[in-house]
Order: sequence, then structure tokens, then C-alpha cells
Amino acid sequence: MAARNSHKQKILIVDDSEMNRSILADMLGEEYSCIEAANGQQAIELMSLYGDKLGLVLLDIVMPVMDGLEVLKIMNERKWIQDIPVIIISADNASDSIERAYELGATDYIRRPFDVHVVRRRALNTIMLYGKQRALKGMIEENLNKRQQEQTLIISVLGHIIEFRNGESGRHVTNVRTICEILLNALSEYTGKYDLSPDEISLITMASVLHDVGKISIDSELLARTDKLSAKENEVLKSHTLLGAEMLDKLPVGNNEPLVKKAYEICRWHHERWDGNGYPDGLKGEEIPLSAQVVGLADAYDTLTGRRAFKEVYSHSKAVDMILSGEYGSFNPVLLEVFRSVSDKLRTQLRLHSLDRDDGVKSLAESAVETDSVSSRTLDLLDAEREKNRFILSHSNEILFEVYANPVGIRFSDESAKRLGVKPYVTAPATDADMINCFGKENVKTIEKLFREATREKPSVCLKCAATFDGKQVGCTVTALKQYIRNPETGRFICSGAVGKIDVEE
Amino acid sequence: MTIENFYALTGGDYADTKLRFLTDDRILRFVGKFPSDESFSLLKSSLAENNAETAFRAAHTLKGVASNLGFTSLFKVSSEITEVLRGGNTVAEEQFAELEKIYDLIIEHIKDLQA
Repeated sequence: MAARNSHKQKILIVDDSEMNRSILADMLGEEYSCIEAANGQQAIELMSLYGDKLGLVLLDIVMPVMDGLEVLKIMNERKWIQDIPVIIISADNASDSIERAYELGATDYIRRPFDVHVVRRRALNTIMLYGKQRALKGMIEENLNKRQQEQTLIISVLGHIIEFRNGESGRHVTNVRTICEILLNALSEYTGKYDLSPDEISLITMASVLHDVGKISIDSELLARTDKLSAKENEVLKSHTLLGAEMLDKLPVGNNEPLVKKAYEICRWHHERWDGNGYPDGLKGEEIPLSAQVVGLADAYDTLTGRRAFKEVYSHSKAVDMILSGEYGSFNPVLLEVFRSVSDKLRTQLRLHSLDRDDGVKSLAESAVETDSVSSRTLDLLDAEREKNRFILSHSNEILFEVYANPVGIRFSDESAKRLGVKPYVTAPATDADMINCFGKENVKTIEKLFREATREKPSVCLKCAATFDGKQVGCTVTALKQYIRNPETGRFICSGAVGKIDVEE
Repeated sequence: MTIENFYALTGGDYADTKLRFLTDDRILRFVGKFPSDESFSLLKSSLAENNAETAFRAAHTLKGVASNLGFTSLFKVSSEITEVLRGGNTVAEEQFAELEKIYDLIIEHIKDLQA
């Protein structure tokens, strides 16, 4: 298996005879980089390794371990056959297996004995054909993506304008959208009751952005009022549902578009409730379109947990309880069941969205979510600790630092970082050039080793070493305390990072 | 010995091979590799061990290599043996002896060719 050159078009030659493989490689010539497999199993391994970087596979049928037809079957199962073209090489031209190979998606056929011109021409034609196909596919996908992005962008902008005008919390529209997406995906997964295609889900999710569009016709002073509204004022406020629906209905163009129709349902009926006690039309049960039911629930949850002029802020679990108990209006029992099952995920997702600007915390949260090892309560505790440490860091003249466990990173205060000549947030400290420059390669290595070896029983690390401080060589003492927190669910201790201090000798 | 002579002496088809390989250099390179091809010895040993499945694959491979190199006589006999084995039948001793004779002849002349 010899790879000759990496940037040429790759061809995988699969034949149990080394002689046949090398004749083919030789005939294909220097324009291609050929890799070889002596049986089907090796071929499958190489295909999983290279994927559609393979421009072509030349495949023998009769081989030990795994034959060519088996390879084609696997390529079909894994859908590789759509992206990797296969040319069959065989001496048995009339046999059933050739026909079977074509049925399994082989593109062409080269018969033995090999002929230089035939081999080159067939390989080139097939590679060009697939290359064009790939290029076209890429162009179409790119175009679609771009259009979708633009559409999403325009709708988000519109949503935020509405939000801004209504004086609502900065993230309400985004949150409602995130919640809708999670609920709808879970709804289609967990229950067979609602027929929700991915297109339908994305349509409702996008249209949810417009749920309060009617509020732009309502006096902003009324929207901003924190005192108790009169019955009449309350009716005016409630009219945002009908106002929004009317606006969409009277659009000069596009009011027949699926997106606008969904938005109409959502605007008009997102305050309807399952028991018929909602507004404006008093719809009951399944009379309320699913889109409006889902947005209604999402809106209720985010209103409860968010800051609003007219109410206190409720915690996630309190808000979930209030919704499940019917205290904040009645909802479809199926929807409530789904809401209950995704409520943890919901909280984490909303949290992730709101942490967008803090990369360190975000990736920690993400990795925790991925491995599913840390509960959201643990995340809270970690965050609280972080905040505390960061506060202390920014108000101290000593060189204090904080170590993150996952992913590994060190945070210094801006001032300390400047004096040490390192970045305030050092990712991968063991190999960081500034760190090595400041402490020396050996010392960085030793500190890392000591830190790794520290345990919950012996959590402290101490090292006297040389360092560059304010551009001068000095002696210093690095001390750090490895910190653990207990995961309340499993009872196990996990390393949450460390805090440390550097004392510089005068 | 010229390559053309070699093909004439071993029952091969030089003209067709030249058309397919384009250059004598390429033909020589791969003919020179033929003695290290293991399909003949694998066929021989698997026939001796009555391993019909491996024997079939080895005969099939030998046939393919012979065809590629333009060794017409070797291709003919190995094709016959492949079909016998494909049908689940036993290869007659005389038939294998014939194959071995041609194979040995080719190996011998490759030595002359390289001398």
C-alpha cells in the first residue's frame, strides 16, 4: 500500500494480485496517486479513512477475505457509492457477477487483459463525470445554504426590531425560537401523534419570531407600564394578537406563502389555551393550530423565566412547575409531557445561547453537555465559582491565576498577564510559546506534571523556579490548589480546575 | 534474447501485449516480476491440500495475471483449470502437469531474458 503523492487525484486499486495492482498503477501513470488493497476488507478500511477524497475505486470481484460484490454492498449500505465511483475489473466478462456489480452501482467495467488506453480513458472519464457531479452538488448546496441564511437573517432582524420596539428582554425572540425548535423536534421524535416534517419544523420555528409583531401597533407607553392595567387597557394589550394577524393578512404580497400563513396562526392564537380560556377567539384543544400551541408554551416559559416589567423572575424549575401544574394557563397534555421530558435540555441550550460571548465557559459547558457527565446544577455551581475567582483576580495585585480543567486553560488578570508576557487566557498552557518563554520549557513541563499528579487528598502543588517578570529574570514560587466539586447526582468528585498564586522574589 | 523471442518460445502473444502495454520497457518490467507472483505456488499447494476454494481463487488470479501479461498458453490452461474448480470438480493430474510445464518454461526463459 504505497501512497505516492497526496495532492493528486487518489485512486484505490483493489485486487488480490500484487502484479495486477502494479500493472494498473503503472498504466494509470503519474497523474494519479494510487493506493492499494489486497482484499475487500482492506478496501473498506481505506474507504472509511479517505471517504470521498477517493476519486475512483478499481475493484476486482474474486478476492479472498471479502469479495468485490460484498464491498459494493457495504458501499451501498453506507451510501458511499453515491460519492465514490467504482470501476469493476474482472476477466469473467459474461458472468452474472458483472451484472450484479452494475446493479450495485458500479459505474463501468474494465476487462482483463488490461490495455493502457482503455484503463486511462475509463478512469479519466469516470473521475471527470463524478467531479462535475460533485461540483454541481456543492454549488447547489452552497446556493441553498446562502439563501436560507439570508432568509433567517432577515427574519431575525425583523424579530429583534419588534422586540426592541416592544421594550422586551433582549433574548425573548431568540429564546422562543430555540424553545420551539427543541419542543417540535422532541414532539416528532417522542410521539407519533403529530406529523412533523423537518420543513414544517423549520417553518414554525422561523415564523415564531413574528409572534408579537402586533405589539408594534400598540402604544409603547402602555407596553412599558409596570402598574396594574385597567380592564380596558388590558383588552388593548391583548389585541396585539388580532393586530398581528391582520397585518400579515393584509400584506400586499406573500400572504399566501406558507411562512406567512404559519406566522398568521401563531400571531393570532399563541395566547389561546387548551381549556378554551385564552384569547382572542377562545379556541379549545386541537382547534388551536399546533404552531400556536407550541409558541404559546415557549412564550409562557420564557416570559416566566425572563425579566418583565409586570412580574418577578422565576427560576427554571419554578417556571416548569408552574406550567406543568396549569398555574400559568392550560396546555395540551401531550405537549406538556414533551416539555417535561426536554426541560433539562431546554435549560442547557438556552444557557449555551446566552453564553455565546464567553468562549471558555461555553466550551466547558458544551463538553459537559456532550459527555453528559455534568448536570445543569453542577454547571451552575461551576459558573458561580468562576465568577467568584474572576472577581478576586481582577482586584488583586498579586499574580493569581485560575486553571480550567476542561478544556485546559489558564486565566491571568490582564495586568498579571502583561507583566509575565503571556496572554490573559492561555489555552493549551503546556505547549504555549509565551508560557515556555516566561517559565522555561522544563518548568512548564514540571508544573504540568505536578498538577496532573495532584489528588483530592493532596491537592496542592508547589514549585520554586525561575521566570521572566517585567522583562527581567527572577526567582519565583508557583503554588496552586487543585479544586474538586461533587456531582450531586452521582456523588463522584470531578476536578473543576485550580486556583494558584505566583510569588515573585524581590 | 529479445522480448519478441521470449513470447514466441513461451506461447505468448507479443503483438497484442505490445498494443496494450505500449512499450517494451513496461512489458519487461512486469514480465520480470512474474516469478515473484505467488498464485501458481498457491494453486499447487492448495490442490495438494485439497483446498478447493483457495485453489479456485489462485487459479483465477493466475489466469488474470497470465491474461494481462499476454501469456496465451498459460492463460488457456489456467482458464480451463479455473472452470473445472468453479464447477466443483477435481483437477486431473495431467491437466495440472501441463500447466506446470508451461509455467516452468516461462520461468526458465525469463531468466534468459534477464541474463
